[in-house]
Amino acid sequence: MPTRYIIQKLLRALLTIWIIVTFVFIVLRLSGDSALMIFGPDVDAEAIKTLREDWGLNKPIWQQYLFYIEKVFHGDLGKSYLDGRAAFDVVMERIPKTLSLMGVTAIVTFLIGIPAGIYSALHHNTKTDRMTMTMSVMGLSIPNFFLGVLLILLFSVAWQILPSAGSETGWHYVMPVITMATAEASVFARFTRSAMLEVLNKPYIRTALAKGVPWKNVVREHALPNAAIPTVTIAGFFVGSLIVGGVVTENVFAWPGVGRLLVNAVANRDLAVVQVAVLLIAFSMVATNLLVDFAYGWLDPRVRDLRGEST
Amino acid sequence: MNGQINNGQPLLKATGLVRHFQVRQSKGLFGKKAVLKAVDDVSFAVNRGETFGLVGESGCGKSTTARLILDIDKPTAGTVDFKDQQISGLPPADRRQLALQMQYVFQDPLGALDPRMRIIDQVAEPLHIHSQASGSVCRDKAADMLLSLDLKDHVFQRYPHELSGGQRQRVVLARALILEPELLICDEPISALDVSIQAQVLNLLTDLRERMRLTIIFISHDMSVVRHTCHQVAVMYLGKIVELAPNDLLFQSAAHPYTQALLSAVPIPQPGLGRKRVLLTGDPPSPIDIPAGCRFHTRCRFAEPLCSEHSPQFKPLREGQWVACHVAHGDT
Amino acid sequence: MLPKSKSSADKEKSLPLLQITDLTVDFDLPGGWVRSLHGINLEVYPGEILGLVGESGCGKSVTCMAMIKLLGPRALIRGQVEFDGQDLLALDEKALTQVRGRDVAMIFQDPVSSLNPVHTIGRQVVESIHYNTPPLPLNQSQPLGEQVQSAVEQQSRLTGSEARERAERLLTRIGIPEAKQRLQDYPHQLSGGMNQRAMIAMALAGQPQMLIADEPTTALDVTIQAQILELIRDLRHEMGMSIILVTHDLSVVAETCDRMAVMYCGRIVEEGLVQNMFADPHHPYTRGLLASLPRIDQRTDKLPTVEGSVPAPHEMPSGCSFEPRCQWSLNECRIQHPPLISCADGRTIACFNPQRGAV
Repeated sequence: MPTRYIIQKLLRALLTIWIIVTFVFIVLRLSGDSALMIFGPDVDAEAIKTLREDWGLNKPIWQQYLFYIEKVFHGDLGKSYLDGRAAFDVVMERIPKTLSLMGVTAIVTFLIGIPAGIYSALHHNTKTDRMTMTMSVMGLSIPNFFLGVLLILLFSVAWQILPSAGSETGWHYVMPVITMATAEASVFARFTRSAMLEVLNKPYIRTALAKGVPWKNVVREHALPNAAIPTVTIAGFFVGSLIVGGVVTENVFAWPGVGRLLVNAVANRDLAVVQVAVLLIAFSMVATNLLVDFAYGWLDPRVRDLRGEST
Repeated sequence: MNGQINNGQPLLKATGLVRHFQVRQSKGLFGKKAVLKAVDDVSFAVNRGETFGLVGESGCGKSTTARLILDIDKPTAGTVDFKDQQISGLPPADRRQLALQMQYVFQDPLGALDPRMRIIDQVAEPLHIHSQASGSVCRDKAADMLLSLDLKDHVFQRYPHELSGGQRQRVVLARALILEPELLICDEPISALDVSIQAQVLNLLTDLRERMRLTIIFISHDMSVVRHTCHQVAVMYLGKIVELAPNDLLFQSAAHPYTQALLSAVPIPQPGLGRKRVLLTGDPPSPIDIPAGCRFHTRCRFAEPLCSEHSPQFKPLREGQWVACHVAHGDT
Repeated sequence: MLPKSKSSADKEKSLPLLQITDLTVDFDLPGGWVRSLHGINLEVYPGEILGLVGESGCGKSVTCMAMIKLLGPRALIRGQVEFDGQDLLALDEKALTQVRGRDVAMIFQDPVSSLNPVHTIGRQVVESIHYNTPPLPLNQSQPLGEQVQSAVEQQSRLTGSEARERAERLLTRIGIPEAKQRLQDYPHQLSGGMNQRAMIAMALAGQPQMLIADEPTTALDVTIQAQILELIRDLRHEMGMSIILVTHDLSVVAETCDRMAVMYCGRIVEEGLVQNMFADPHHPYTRGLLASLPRIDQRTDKLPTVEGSVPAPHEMPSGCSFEPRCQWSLNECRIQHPPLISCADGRTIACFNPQRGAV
């Protein structure tokens, strides 16, 4: 893939990150006097004044901005007032749990959703196809908090075979992953199916068959690579919905991850932690989009050649 | 029907039309800026009552020229005069007047019609917009128009997808002609139609031209059709007109090597003719990267050293026949 | 130089390479079953170019794709397609895959969209070479084991650079300049003419006995069309291939084909030597088509036309499908469909009231 393409995308990603960082700054400052928000209105003026000086809140806004950028660069994103440690550390220590939940969910989603979609496309309009599609509609219609609570009622309360909170053992993963993966796999199944169907109708599939390439090889080498291109688009959305779904699921199942931490921090006005969590989510999205862009360039040679007309 | 019809002032005059596009080529970090010369100094005049043919292969600039004439696109340079009035930069009221006098028919009849409007309403719509007449009067006029184009009334209430290709093209024509324009510009009007329908629509166009005293600019890549329909023909290559002549003169004694190659490539429905073919090698150059000198010299079998140095002037060879070629004019 | 025309006597002496008998194709569409081909009978002889002509919906492409079963699961194909002794329709998918590309190759309209956009040209040509390397002929005097060994070696040797070399040679032979560079290009980077040449190269990789060209030049400029048709004619001479050329352009047929078959609404209405059919077309549809063609060497005020238009599949007239547009129709024509019968000069025609004379 041409270097030009990679560098362009990287530059764009960096620009996006800078805009996000600035945006977070603006929103936090705009949402009112931070000091008051943290401590509430009935704390003595002395404490607030100290806090203000600590955070440089009494300086002009552009100075605060530069101060802030510098701190971000150095990784100093403030202190969690609930915990006492650096907010950055507080968030980072929760990441492994969240990542492991997302990772397992992603694996399950890909292993079930994509093959189901491909199989349905290859057996278009048969009973299996229709059944899979009906199930996928049901799967993506159920809200994940509803599904999560339902599963807990069934497996933890009624039958008492699965734990409903925490993340110590492998069994703890079962219900949260099912909760998140059901909707995701359904989306992938539907999307992969329609991407495959569209590709299978293209003239070049017919050409490959006419050349004497066996059907299995045609599907593997001609259809799948082309169907992968639109599928990569939803990979971007997928990461976003994993994050959102993760926040809800973690709270339903008391999963000790970033999502749970975030909800807690918002409820308790732990600003620094909220800030770190928001930045983290934003960076993940930017990184994901960057990877999607690279994947496009790798998968579709037409994208790599620049086009563009202007009058 | 021989030679050209010359009734005084030309109805439409194009002078030095240029249309360049700024594009980015895939070179270097951010791409290299380049200029796509779609139309590169095109001049011609169309006389009242004639069918003027603009021919060439893909990428020659004929469709872009059509858009410039219709003022759908603004030229980078050059002017278009309709009835001695320049059409670019007109105030809106005058532009509306212009639309009444200049109409067009493009290649894809299905794409040109609104899939959700009934046939009769689509044909009546232009009249409705541009005149004060009531809805029913417009529809009556539309019905008359459709009938005169051999469309039966059971078609009127239908939708475009329910019609055949030939019928759709007639509907598009009806809609274009209901305002009784003086000039009709057709860009590949029959290419998308079945062969047995093409002749019907061609005859129809000739008929309409006589009945409604139309002037037609006929753009096509199909030389056989142009031979049959047009009084004057201009041949385009890579954005320039290389030859312009009356029909018989062009087809019987073409002077430009490209025209000759083009004509010899056109198949004739007569087996065993054993024609001598002029075969051009390779592909035409890209309009981003036009050769220096005469733009055809890279594929020309008569190319001389002069041809790669100087671009030939477009000037008359003999009565009515204009050619841009050093060799044809004997300048080498 | 065209080979000498075959009279009916000659035809009896040489056997056809391809014999299609009573080919019928029905499609399972959302609105019900629709018949696309109504019992096609057609022959193609070794080394000849047969033109298959007709307008949209006549079934010419369906005929070609039905021959090698490229129509997909919604098509019901019946009849016989005898190619070089075996009935292609009776073969199972595995055997048919062997035939495709190796014995019968097919190229399509609009080369840019008929090629995989994410594979390089080189990869697609190598793919053809890989799947269609003709088997080595068996040598009686050599031990079988050795021959199998060398066949395997040839196959495995053909991977990688050997195959790419062959691909490059193939592209050069087809008239693509700088073939080595072109191997790395993607279809969208080449012109329509170059892509069509690449498709032809892929089709020739297996040295097939028959090439089916489905409107190969319709999407191309006329000067490029002339090049491609010249190429096809040269290939016929060099390789002795039979070619079925599908087109709607009768002029192309006149200049390229030996014999032609005219199709209308899923049936063959007339078939015979190109010379005879152009000089003296019998079927009213053929006559109408020829008369209505504008030519660059002639000019008339008004072109004769064929009235009406092709009926939609669900609006097929009973009796002869051309009857509503025919100026010579008889009562018979409305009742039943005329059968395909042979004439004196070797042609076949399906008409109750055939006409004679030049158009």
